[in-house]
Order: sequence, then C-alpha cells, then structure tokens
Amino acid sequence: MHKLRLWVGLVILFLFMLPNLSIGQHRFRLKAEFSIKEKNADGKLGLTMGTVYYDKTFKKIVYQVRFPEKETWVISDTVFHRIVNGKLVAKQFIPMLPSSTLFDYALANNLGNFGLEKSFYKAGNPKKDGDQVITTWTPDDRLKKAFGEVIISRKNNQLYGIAFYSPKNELLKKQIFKGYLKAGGISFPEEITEIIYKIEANGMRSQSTKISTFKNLVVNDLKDQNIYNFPVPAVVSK
Amino acid sequence: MIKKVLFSALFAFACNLGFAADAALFEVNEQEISTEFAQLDELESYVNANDGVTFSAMDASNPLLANVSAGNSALGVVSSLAEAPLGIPSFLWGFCFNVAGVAIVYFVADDREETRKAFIGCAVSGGLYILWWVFWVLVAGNAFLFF
Repeated sequence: MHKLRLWVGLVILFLFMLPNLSIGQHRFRLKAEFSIKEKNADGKLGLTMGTVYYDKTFKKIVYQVRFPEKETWVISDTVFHRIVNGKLVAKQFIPMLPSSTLFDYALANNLGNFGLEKSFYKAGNPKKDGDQVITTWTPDDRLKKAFGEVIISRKNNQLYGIAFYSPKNELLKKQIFKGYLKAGGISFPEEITEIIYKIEANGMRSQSTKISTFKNLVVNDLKDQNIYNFPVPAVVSK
Repeated sequence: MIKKVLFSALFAFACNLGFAADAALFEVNEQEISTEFAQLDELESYVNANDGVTFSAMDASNPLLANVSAGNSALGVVSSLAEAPLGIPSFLWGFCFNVAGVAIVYFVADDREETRKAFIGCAVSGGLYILWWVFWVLVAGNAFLFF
C-alpha cells in the first residue's frame, strides 16, 4: 500500500514538473556563420560573410559582418540599422518583421510552409511530382491585386523550394534549399540558391543569382547576450 | 472504346506535363552556377584562411577581387537571409493603420515615394469607411424604418 502511494506521488510530481521540463525544449535564439555570394544582372560579383544572431524575445536580427568590411546590421521591427565602428551610419525602413523570417520559422520548426499557414494565403491541393510535393498558395481574394501566388515544394517533408509570383503571375524569384543543418532540435537550411528575376526599363528580363550558405549553427546559446540584444545608437552620426 | 482509352492516356499525359512544369520550376543549372561562382568560392576560402581580412585591406590588383564590388548591397543581403512573404508594403501601412501608418512610414522610411503610397492606402481606407457608413445609413438605416 505504501509503495502504491509512493508511485502515485511520483507520477503526480512528474506531471506537475512537465511544464518546467518543456521549458528546456523552448528554442528562443540561434546563431550561424553565413556567406552570401552574389552575381548581379550586370555581371558584378559580391561576397558578404559574417555571423547572424536572432533572438525571439528581443525580436532582433543582428548581422556581424566581417567581409567586405567589418560592420553590424540590426533589424528590429521594420527598421534596418547599419553600424560601423559603434556609430549608427544609416537607418532605413524595410518591409520586414524579424518574426516573419526564416530564423523565426526555423526556431518554431515551422519552416516547411514558410509560415504561410498563419497568413492570408490559402493552400491549394498538394501535388506529388517525383520526390517533390508541390503546393500552390493563393492570397486572400481581397489582396490578390497586391500579392501573387507562392509555390512551395517539399522534399522528405522539408522545404525544398519556394517561388514568388507577382499579381500578374510573373515569376519574381525562386529559392532552392539544399541540405539542412541540425542543432538543438531544429533544422536550418545549409545552402539557399536564389534566383531573382527583374523586368528592365526596356522590357527585357534579367536575372541575378545569390547563394547563401550557413554553418556552425548554435541554438539557445547563452553567451553573446550583448550581441543578441545589440544596443543600437539612437542617433545617426553625420 | 479506343477513343476513350486514347483520351484517358492523353489526359493523364497532360496532367503529368502540368506537374512536371511545377517540379521543373525548382531545377537550376548546377554546372553553370558552379562555373559562375568559382571566383567567389576562391575568395571565400581566402577570407576564411586569412582571419580578419577585409576588402579594403586586400591588394586591389588581387585577381580574386576582379569584378567584385567593394561594398555590399546590405538590404539585398538581408532580404536573402530574412525573406518575408508577409513584408508589409507602405500602402498597407496606410490602409491598415491609417494616419498612424502614414506617420510610421514618414518617420521611419524618410522616403517621399513610400510616404505617398502610405497616404494613398490611408485615403483608400478612409474612402471605404465612408462608403460603408453611407451604405448602412442609407440602406440598412432606412430598412429599420419598416419595422
């Protein structure tokens, strides 16, 4: 009888501790080394390398760039800050929220549909083609004039490709995700090939290509607190 | 019977063609990309091998820097790493948040064109609100008179 009570007590104690145990599974920040290689439509090349930090709590994406020059970029809310030698040299509005990015989706293990299921996009019926499962996402009828379709391809239940179309059904860009890094219970793309299409003033279509690669993914890193919550100077230095 | 079989075969073929077009969307010419990016791959290896090296610290005549931009398009880079399908255009800032949305775009973007878009969004939103109000007063409001 005593043993039974002891077991019941232990089970109840375990059940009470479950929420605390699950905190250990909470993924709130990540960092990774990145490199971005670009070939623009005019043939110019570009290389950017550094480390990116993202923290869900602070809602900041911080890029510590080491090439071509050492500088820090911080995105918070919809503002892009460029900091060089500790001075804010530029500040610009960008239509991007840190909570609607690859980093946040990866932390939430929600990368498969690029967060579209929580948006005004509706998924069509998935179609299987070879090893890809293709889903066409269409925007809400009221927003069809501003947003085009998004096509998502999944391979092995992971995001493989995403293509964005204009409201006139012109392909704007596509991204192909190759390989995934795994750390701390999340998957993050190892390489993203992005092809951006542009219609020039003369009506000709041009394209530029970017290859982003990531390595050394760290999740829930408790160091570098001052970087994850990078203090942005309030005033732009002239 | 033969016609039915042929029609079914054609239909199945057409469907497969449609699917193939979707999957083919994500095919890229790996060989071509590899050739185009060979110089940047070498430059990346060089930067990794020489800790702390920057573009300005490298010899300008270094063949690895041929045709490479000294600066980067920061916003272009950011858009690659942090793609946002839910990015909010200025029009929607004005449309959804009205005057506050216009003010946000005005102060944050510091761009006349973006502010103009936000203002148009605000005006469209205001116009729709007035139409909605007129509709309810004239149509629904009158309907109440019958009760």
